[in-house]
Amino acid sequence: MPAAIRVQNLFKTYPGADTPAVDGLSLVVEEGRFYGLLGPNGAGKTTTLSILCGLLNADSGEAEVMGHALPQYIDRVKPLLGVVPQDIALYDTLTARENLAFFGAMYGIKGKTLTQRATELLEEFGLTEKADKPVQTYSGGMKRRVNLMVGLLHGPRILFLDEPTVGIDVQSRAMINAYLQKLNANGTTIIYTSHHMDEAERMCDGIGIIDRGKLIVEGSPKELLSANTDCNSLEDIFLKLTGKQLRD
Amino acid sequence: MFRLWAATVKEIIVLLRDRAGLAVLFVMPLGLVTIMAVVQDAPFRDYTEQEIPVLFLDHDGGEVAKLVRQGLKDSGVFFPSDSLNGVSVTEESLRESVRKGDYQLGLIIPEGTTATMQQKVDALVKQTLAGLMPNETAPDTTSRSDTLEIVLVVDPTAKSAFRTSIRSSIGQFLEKVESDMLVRTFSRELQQMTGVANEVKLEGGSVITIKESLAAKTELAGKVAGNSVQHNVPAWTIFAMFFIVIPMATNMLRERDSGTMQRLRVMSGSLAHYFGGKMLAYLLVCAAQMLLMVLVGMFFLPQLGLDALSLGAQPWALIPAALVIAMAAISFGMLIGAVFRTHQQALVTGIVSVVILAALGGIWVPLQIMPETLQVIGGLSPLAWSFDAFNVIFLRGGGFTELLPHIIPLFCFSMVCIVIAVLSMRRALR
Repeated sequence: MPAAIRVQNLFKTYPGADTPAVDGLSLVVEEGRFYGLLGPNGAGKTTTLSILCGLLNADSGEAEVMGHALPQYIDRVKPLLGVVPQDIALYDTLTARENLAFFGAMYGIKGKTLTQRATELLEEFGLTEKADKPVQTYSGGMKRRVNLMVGLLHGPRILFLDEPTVGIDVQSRAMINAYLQKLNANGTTIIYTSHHMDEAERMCDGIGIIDRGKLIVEGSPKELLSANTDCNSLEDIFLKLTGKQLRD
Repeated sequence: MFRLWAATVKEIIVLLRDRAGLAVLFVMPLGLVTIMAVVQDAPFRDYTEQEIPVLFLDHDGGEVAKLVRQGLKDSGVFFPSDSLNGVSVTEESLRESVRKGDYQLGLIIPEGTTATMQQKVDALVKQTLAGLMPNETAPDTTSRSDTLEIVLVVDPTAKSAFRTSIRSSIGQFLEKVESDMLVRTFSRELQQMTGVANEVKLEGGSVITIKESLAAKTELAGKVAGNSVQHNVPAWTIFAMFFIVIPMATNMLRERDSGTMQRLRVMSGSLAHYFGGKMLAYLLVCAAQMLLMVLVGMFFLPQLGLDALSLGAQPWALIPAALVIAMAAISFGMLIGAVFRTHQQALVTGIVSVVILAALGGIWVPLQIMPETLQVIGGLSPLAWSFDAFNVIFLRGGGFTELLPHIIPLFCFSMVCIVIAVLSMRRALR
């Protein structure tokens, strides 16, 4: 399979920081994968995703998305990407439908296509009835669903998900995860960060654990468990590799 | 283009659902323009348009006091009264009433005023006629010490300009009384000299009068003088437009904090759509503010006894003026929203800066009456440029050409603000 993401020897240090956020990271994710990028707080996950979607420039190294080098071809990359940030990045005084209409237009979707796509997503995520209520009246789970829907509006080929199910109820999490698996089955590459190890183990077909800006291990959940026979779960492997020391 | 349209629609919806923001943009300026126009109405009017009661104490009982009293009455401005609560006024009660502020003015005509004036006039006439009568010796009028003073008692809180005006008016009455007396005395003396009776009639106004003409560009505009409404409507419209800084900065910071700005950055749209959408949405808000304030000035303020707002001779010129002023106000809001990192910083700086720029820019009181140093500093305020631009249309009868010197600096100001806002936003999002 061709690479959806290719990262080679990537470095990024924030101004004023003593240590690099990304420290020579190299990574390849093939198209169609459901890839979990896992790591403790401050490991460099969000920085890596930010570089891949054009929000940050790397200090050195190479990054490509669907064969397009970054940051030179970011304009070609943007339409291919769906980004779902960890924050609820919505206008809370706007309704779900209005948020979808606005962000859809920003993605370049027009008229009936946009209306139809928004209606489909609202139905898919069980928000049709509440679609015309302001987002500020929604529960945490409903907001997370709308947050995800915005990233899916334009049918991206690659979806970056930064903690998409953090702080939500079990039902909303199950719905989101089921949808993501369906999406991946239909060919969308998903790059996913999470602190829910059980969720990552169940859903991802590829796992990369990074710490202190470096990739420390990579493989499918099965491969990782086979290679670490003293561990019973991905969480055990994670703790074994990254330590039990608290991270800020 | 449709991205810009979508950004504009989003901005309008966000604004319409922000009740506090709407109150700041529409209710506050409506309240301010109404209150300030009413409060400033009297100071804006010339004192001659007011009715001023005057306590009148006549120790003279002669012609001068009679004529001064009549002159005050005829002026239609002064209302002389020689009693207080039904009791004849005395010098003490007069001074006490004015000191307490019950009356703004008191006038004391000293005893012998008419006689003293008549003596002086007689002497002048005799001196003048002495040349015609070789045997007569001209009386010496140069060393006379029998002058009297009419005392004008003035409220200590009265402004200097008011005191000067009153003194000038009373002086005019006295000059008229003296000249009438002079003419009558001449007439009487000549009649005695020649034996020919020729009664001089003093009725009729002056041969040369003063016609006030406002230096406006057209005849229509020349009929509109600066008054409370003509000052306050444009002034508070500008203030309201610049107060856009509050909802603008609040929304921009909310977008940055919530991550919607980051989300927009990973989409194909650019910062141009983001800022363009804001500009278009808030231009509509400014247009609505302008329309509302003009309607209030034309139809509501007259209901409160104030003058109706006049749009000047070329009202269409309000469109480019309002457009550029609105652009300047919106750009300033963008600058504040982009440069500052917290809501508190942005709001405090935004509000304080607009209030200071308004005070210095002549929004509250005209720039012309400020000290020279403040006038120079105030001339640097974009609100002063905005006010000058509106005055060109509202008062000076100017059109687009006359507007240019005022709107070009405003346009440059908005461009500078936008450039700084874009650069700051890019930096903040990195």
